Amino acid sequence: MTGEDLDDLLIRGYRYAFSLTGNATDAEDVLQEAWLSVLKADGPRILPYLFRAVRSRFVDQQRARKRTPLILLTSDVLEGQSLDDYDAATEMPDWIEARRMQEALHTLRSEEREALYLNAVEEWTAQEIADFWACSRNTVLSLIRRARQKMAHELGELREQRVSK
Amino acid sequence: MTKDLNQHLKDHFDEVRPTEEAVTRLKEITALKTESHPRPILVSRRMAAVIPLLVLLGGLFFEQSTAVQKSAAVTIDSIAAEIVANHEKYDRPTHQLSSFDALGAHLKGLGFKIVKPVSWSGDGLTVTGGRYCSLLGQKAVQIHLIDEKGQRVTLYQTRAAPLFDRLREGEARVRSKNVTVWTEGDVYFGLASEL
Repeated sequence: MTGEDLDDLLIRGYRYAFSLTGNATDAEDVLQEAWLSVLKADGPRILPYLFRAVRSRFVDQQRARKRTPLILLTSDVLEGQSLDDYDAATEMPDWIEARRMQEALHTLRSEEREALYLNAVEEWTAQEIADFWACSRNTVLSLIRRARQKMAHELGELREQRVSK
Repeated sequence: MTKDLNQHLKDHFDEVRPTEEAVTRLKEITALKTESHPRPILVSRRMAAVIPLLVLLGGLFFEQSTAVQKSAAVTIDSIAAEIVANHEKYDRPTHQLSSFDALGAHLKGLGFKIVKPVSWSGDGLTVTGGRYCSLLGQKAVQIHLIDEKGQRVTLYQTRAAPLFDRLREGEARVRSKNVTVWTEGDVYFGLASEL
């Protein structure tokens, strides 16, 4: 693995950790512990393995803090839903500021944020996320759809606020 | 002109990056781990298993102890790098308490009791708090202290698992930090301070 490959792996691991934790300090903490566990186990230095370690460390962190655990094994099945049932290309104005985007992301539950990140940024399919989480594809689809609705709502409100100014 | 949500999210996360310091730290730890290569530890364990036989056969004990010392030296560097990484991060303590006893009463998820180490006086050091952390993937506690000059000192405690058998005590220097590790009973200690 070259230095550039390692940089890319660590940066993507950090972004994923950031999508889970929602803040930079915790993301660095989770990434560091996850990376150390990968090295300790002499595991493969590849993205899915690192993501799994990051997720595991995040769950540990949440348990330690006695916050709401991340585990999402309650299937929220949407009858007859397919991959085409959610709009992957919800149109948004192009002026959304980073801070506003972050605030909108903060309104999501961590599992919604994680599902949206893996789907929209890492371009994983719902089935790939379901395999990764060991849950049903419908659960993932439900989370992604809910996350998109919340984001559209938050950013829609933002647009109204901006217009009123 | 509009962009879809996916593109907004991609653009947003494109700007999300760890600090240069964090990446450098992880790369340094990676380099140390790569240099140490875990296999020698496995070899050492195998060798440890045949020590009685070697003793019976006689004559080879010296060679074995040399191999163990080599393994220990490498591993102390690894753990020192991790301790210094935690020391430099200096995340805010989750429990702002001023004594080992108080920390022990609150941080109960370690599988051992937090204690003031008996072989270390801690003179001139004030406990300011603590938080859970990890050492070599094991659950540990990071205790924050401040010395008389106001400099940060961090003390680590974790269970003295077999993992630490090869490095029961030692010292190392990493990036202007002094790291000391030692064992007392079933607790493994690490101390990081500025040089």
